[in-house]
Amino acid sequence: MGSGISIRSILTRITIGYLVIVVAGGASTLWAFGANADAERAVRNAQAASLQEALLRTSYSDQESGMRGFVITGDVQFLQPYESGGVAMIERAADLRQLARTSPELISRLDEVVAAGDRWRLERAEPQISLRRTDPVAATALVVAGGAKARFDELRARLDDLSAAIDGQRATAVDSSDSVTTRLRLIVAATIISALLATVVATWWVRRRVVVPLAQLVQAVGAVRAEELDHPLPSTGPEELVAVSTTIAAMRGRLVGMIDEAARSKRTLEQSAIVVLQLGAELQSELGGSPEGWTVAGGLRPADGVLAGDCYDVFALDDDLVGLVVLDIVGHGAEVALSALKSKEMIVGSLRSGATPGEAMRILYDNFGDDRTEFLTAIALVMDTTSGRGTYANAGHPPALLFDHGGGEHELAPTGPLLGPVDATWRTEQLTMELGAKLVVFTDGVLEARSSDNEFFGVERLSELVVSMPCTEAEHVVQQCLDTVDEFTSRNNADDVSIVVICRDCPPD
Amino acid sequence: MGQASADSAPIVVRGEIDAATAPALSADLSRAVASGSNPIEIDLSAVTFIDSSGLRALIIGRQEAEAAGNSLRIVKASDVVSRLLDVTGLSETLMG
Repeated sequence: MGSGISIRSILTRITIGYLVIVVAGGASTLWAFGANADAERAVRNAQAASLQEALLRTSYSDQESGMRGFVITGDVQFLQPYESGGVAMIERAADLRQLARTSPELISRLDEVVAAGDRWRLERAEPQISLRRTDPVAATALVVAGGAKARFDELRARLDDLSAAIDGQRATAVDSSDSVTTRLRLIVAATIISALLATVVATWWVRRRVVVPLAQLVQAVGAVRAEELDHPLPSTGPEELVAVSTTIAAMRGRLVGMIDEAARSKRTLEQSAIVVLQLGAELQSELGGSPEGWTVAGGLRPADGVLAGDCYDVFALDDDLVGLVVLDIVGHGAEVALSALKSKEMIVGSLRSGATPGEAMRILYDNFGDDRTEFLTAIALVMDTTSGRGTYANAGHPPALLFDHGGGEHELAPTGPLLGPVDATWRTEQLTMELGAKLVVFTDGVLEARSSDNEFFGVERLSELVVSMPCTEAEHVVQQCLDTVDEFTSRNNADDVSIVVICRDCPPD
Repeated sequence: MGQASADSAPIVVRGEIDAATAPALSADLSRAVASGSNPIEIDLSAVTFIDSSGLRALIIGRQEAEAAGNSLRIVKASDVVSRLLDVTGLSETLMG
C-alpha cells in the first residue's frame, strides 16, 4: 500500500508553499515600502510647515516693530516693514494652509493665528497708526501704556500653539517612519526564516516520502538482480514508486515462474533422456542384440550450448520388424526438445499400433492442435529384417540415402510436406535393402554444417564418406560421419546433427 | 540476410536467412501485414542460403497475412530456396 500521495502531488504542495511565502513576503514588503514613503513624506511636510510657521511669525514681528516705530517716532519709513510684513503674512499663511491641508488640527490652529493677527491689526495697530497721524502725543502715550501689547501677546500665544502642533505632527511622522522601517526589517526577516523553515520541511518530507522509499526500491531491485528472489519489495512510498515496485514484483513473479518452468523442463528432459536411453537398451534386448545379418546405430550431436531439436529412435515392432523414426523440429532448447520427444513418441506409438508410416504422420498432424506455428520434418520407416523389404514416409525431411552393395545410390524422397502448417496426407512408399545395403537417415544439420571457409558439408561429401566404408558395422559408420562433420566445422555446429545408419551384412564372397 | 525492404512490394531479400537473420525477416513481414499490403510478394531470388528458421519465418508470415485477410507468396526464388521448398513440400503453398 502506498502513502496515497504521488511525487507530483508532493512537488505541487512544496511549490504552493514556496509561492505562498514569496507572495506574502513580497506583498508585505511592498506595503512596508509604501508606508515608509508616506511616513517620510509626512516628515518632510512637517519640516516645511515648521519653516513656514517661522516665516509667518517673522512677518507678524516685522509688522509689530514697524507699527511701534512709526507711532513712537512718526517716521513713515517704519511703515514699510509694517506693510511688507502684512503682505508676507498673507503669502506665508497661504503656503502654510496648503501644507497643512490634510491636517484639520493645523488648519484650525492657523485659522486661530490669522484671527488673532487680524484682531491685533484691526483693533490695535491700524487705530494707533491713525491716531499717530492726528495726535502724536496721545498715540505715544498709548504705546508706552502698552495698549497693543496684549493683543500681540495673544497672537504670539496662537503662533506658539501652531508651532507646537506642527512639532507634534513632525514627531508623530518621525515615529511612524521609524515604526515602518522596523516592520520592514521584521517582514524581510520573517520571509527569510519562513523560506528556510519551508526548505527544511520540504527536504524532510521529500526524504521521508521519496528518497527513503526510492533507496529501498533500488536496494530491492539490486537484490532481485543478485537473484535474491525472496527479498521483500517495498510497498510504501509515493504512488509512482509503488507502481514501479508492483511492476517489478510482477516481473519477478514471471521470472520465478520461468525459472520454475525451466527447472521443470530440465527435470522432464532429463527424465525423457533417461527414457530414450531406456528405449535404446530395450531395442537391444528386444532384438536380442541385433537381427541376424543387420546392424543399426545412431548418433546426435546437438548445436553448441543448446538442447537439440533433433530426435531419433530405433525400436522392435515384432520379431522381424524394426521401426525407425528420425525427426527435426525447428529450433532448440528445452521446450523444443520436449516437443520433439513427444512427436517422436506419437509416431512410434502409431507404428506400434499397426499404422503405416504415412498414417503415423497424419496421426501426428491431427494431434498438433491449433498451434500451427510449430513444425517439423520426419522420416518414419518400418523394415522387415527377414526379407529386407520395408515401407517409409518422408514428411519434408532431407531425403535419406540408400546405397546398394554395388555402390548405387537411391533417395528416399519426401512423400508429403513437412508436418505442421499444411493440411495434407503422406504417402507410404516401398523400399528394399539387399545384402550389403546401407541406409543413412540424417537431419539437415549434416548438410548445412559449415567449415571455417563457409563451405557446406553437403550431401556429396556424406555420400562419398558412407560409400567408402564397409557395410559390416553401422556404429562405425555413424561415428565416422559424426567425427568428420565435427572436424569439418571445427566442432562449431550451428545446428543439431543427427545420423542413423542401418546396415545389412554384405553377401558372402 | 543482406537486406530486406518492407516499404514496397515485392519485398526483396538478399543474402542468408538463418537463425540469426530470420527474426528480421519476420519483423519485416509483420510490418507489411500491419500496413495492409495485399498481396504481400517476396522476392527471394538473391537468397544464397535458407534453413528451417527462414522457412518458419515465411510460414508464420503467411499465417499472419491470412489471419488479416490478405495473402503472401514468393514471386521469385533462388535455387537453394526452390530446393528447400521442394523438399519440404511447400512450393505450392508459398509460391502457388
